[in-house]
Amino acid sequence: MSVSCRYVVAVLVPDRVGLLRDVTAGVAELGGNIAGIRQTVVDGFFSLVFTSVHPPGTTADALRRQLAIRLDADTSIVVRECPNQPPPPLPDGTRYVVVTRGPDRPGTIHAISAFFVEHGINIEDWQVATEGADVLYTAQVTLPAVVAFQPLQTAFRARMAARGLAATICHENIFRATTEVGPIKGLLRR
Amino acid sequence: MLARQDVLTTLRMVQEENLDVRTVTLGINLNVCASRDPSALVDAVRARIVTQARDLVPCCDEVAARYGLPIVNKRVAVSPASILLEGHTPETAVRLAQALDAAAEEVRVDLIGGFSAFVQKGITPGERVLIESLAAALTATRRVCASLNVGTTRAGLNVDAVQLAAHQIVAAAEASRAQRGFACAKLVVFANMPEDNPFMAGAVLGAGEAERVVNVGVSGPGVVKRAVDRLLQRDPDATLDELAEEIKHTAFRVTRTGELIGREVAERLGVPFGVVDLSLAPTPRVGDSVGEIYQALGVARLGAPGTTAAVMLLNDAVKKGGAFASSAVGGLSGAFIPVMEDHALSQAVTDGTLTLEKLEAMTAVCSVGLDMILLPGHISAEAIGGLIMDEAAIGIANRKTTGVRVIPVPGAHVGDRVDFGGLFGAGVVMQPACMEGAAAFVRRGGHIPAPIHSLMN
Repeated sequence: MSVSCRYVVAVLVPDRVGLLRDVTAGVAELGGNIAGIRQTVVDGFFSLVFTSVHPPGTTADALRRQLAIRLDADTSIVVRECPNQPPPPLPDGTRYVVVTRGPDRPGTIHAISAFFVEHGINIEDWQVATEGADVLYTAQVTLPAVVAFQPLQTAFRARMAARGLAATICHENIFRATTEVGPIKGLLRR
Repeated sequence: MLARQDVLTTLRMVQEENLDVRTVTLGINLNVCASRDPSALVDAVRARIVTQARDLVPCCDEVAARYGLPIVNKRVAVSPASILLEGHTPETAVRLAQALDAAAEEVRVDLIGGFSAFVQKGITPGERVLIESLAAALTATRRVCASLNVGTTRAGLNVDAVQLAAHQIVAAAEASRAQRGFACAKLVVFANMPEDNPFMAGAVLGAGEAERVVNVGVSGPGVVKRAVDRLLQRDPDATLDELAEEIKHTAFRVTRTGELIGREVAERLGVPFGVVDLSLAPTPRVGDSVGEIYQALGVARLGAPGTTAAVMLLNDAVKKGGAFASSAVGGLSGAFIPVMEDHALSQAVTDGTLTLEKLEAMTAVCSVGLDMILLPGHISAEAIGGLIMDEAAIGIANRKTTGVRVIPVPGAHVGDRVDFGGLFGAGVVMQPACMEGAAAFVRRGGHIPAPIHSLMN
C-alpha cells in the first residue's frame, strides 16, 4: 500500500506582498495539502512554518525546489520529513500566560526561558513587542500539576525583578474570560 | 495565542486597577431546621450553616490564588429567618440571630444575611416576631444582617410594615448607642427586594432559589473609574456616549471575571452557580468610589445639577456591558451610592453639595436607595417611616429595587462626624430639608395599592 508523504517546512525571507500565495502555490502544484500552519513577520522577516501531506513519491527535495521556483533568491527553505503520527499530547496541567515587561537588555529572553527550563516547564508560544519605552515579552506555558503556582510566581517575580523587569504569571482563563464572548462554563471545562 | 492588546488590557485591570471579585456569597436554605423547640431550632441552624459553608472560605482562597484575583468578601446568605420563627417568641428570634452569628464566625465569613422577612402584603406572626426582635438581635450580634421587603410593584406598599421597621430602626439605634447606632448599619428596608442579592445588608436566599447557591458580586468601581480616566487622557474631549461605551466594555470584562471566579467556586463546592450581581460596590478607600466616577465624568461637585444624569449613564452602561457578558446576571445590578462607604459621596455630604433630597433623586435611576446615611439622633420614627415610604414609592412606581439603610446616631446632630471603621466607613450626619410634617400620613398605616401599569406618564 502506498503511503502519503508528510513534511514540515520552514520558510524565512524578507517580507513582501504575496509570499503566502507563492508558498501555497508551490505546495498545491505538487498536489500537497497543508495541515498545520503558522506565519508571522519578525522585524521585517516573513517567517512561516507549516506541515503538508503529499501524494506518494513526492520527495523533500522536490518540494524544496518547487518552493524555491516561486520564492525570492534569498529565501531560506528547510524541508524535513514529518512522520505520519499523531502530534504529541498536550502536557497535562493548567495553562498560564507569562508577561514580563521592562527595558530592552541583552539576555532577557534567555533569563525567562532558563527560569522555566529549571522548573521543567515548556514555553509553548512566545511574543515580543515594544510598549512605549519597554519591551513586553508574552509567553504561554502549561504548568504541570506537580508545580505549585504561588511559589513559582514568587520566584519568577524575584528573578525578573533582579533584572529590572516587572513580571507576572496569570491563569489563561482570566484573559479568555475577558476577551471572548462564549459561555464561561466552556472555559472551566477546557 | 492571545492578542497582545487583550493581554495588556486585562493585565492592567489585574495589576494596576485592583480588579477583584467583591463578594462570593453562599446561599443556604435553612427551612429544614424548622422546629417548635427553640433549642433544637438554633442548634440545627448553627450545625447546618457550619456543615454547608465550612469549605467556602478555603475554597475562595484557593480560587483567588489560582487566578491571582482577590475575593474581597466571603459571605453567607440564608433563607428568610422569619419562616423559622413561626410559632416562636422574640427571645427565640434573638437566640436564632446569635446562632447565625456564631455559625458565621465559625466558618470565617464577615457577614451573614437573611435575618429577613417579606412583608409587602401582610405580616405573619413569625414575620412580626422577627421584625419586633430586630433591635435586640442586631445589637446582640456582630455579623448578622437583616432585611425587610415592605413593598413590590405588584403588591404595593405595606405601610404597617414600614411603621414597624421605622420604630425598630429607632430602637436599634438607641440599643447600640455605645456604637453610635451601628446596629442600624446592618438593616435595610427594601421595595422590590431581589431574592438572589449577594451584597449585604440585603443578601438573602429567596423562596425560589436552590438548596444552596453561589452568587457573586463583581469588582468595585475603581476599575471603571480608571477606564474613564484612561479614555479622557487619550481624548479629553470624549463625549458622553463615548464614555458610556468605555464603561460598557469595562463592565463586560469585569462581569466575565466575576462569573469565572463564581462558577469555579461553585463547581468546587458542588453547588449550583446563581448570578453575577453587576453592582459597583464602593469601599471607603480612595480609588474605590462610585462618586469618583461621576467626578471623572465631569460632575466636579457631587450633587450639582447633572449628577442624576451621570448616575443614569453609569448605571445603564454597566448593565449593558454586564448583560452582554453573562446570561446569569441578577441581584441588585446597579451602581450603589452608600454615602458612608464611599469617600467621595461622604465628602460631598460634608461639603453640603449633596443633600438627602438629591440622593433620593439619584436613587430613581440607580440601585439601591438611601444607603448608609447618618441621621440626627432625635429624628422621629415617623420621619424615618416617611423616608422609607418615599424611597419605596420610587422603586414601586419604577419597577425597580430601592432600599433604605439609615443610621440615626443617638445624641448626634447635623454635621457631626461618625466613623464606623472598616468597610462601613465614615460620614457626617445629615437630615431631610423638612424633618416633620408627615407623621399623620405615615401613622394612618394600611396599604398603598399597587400602581397602575398603564397611563404611564
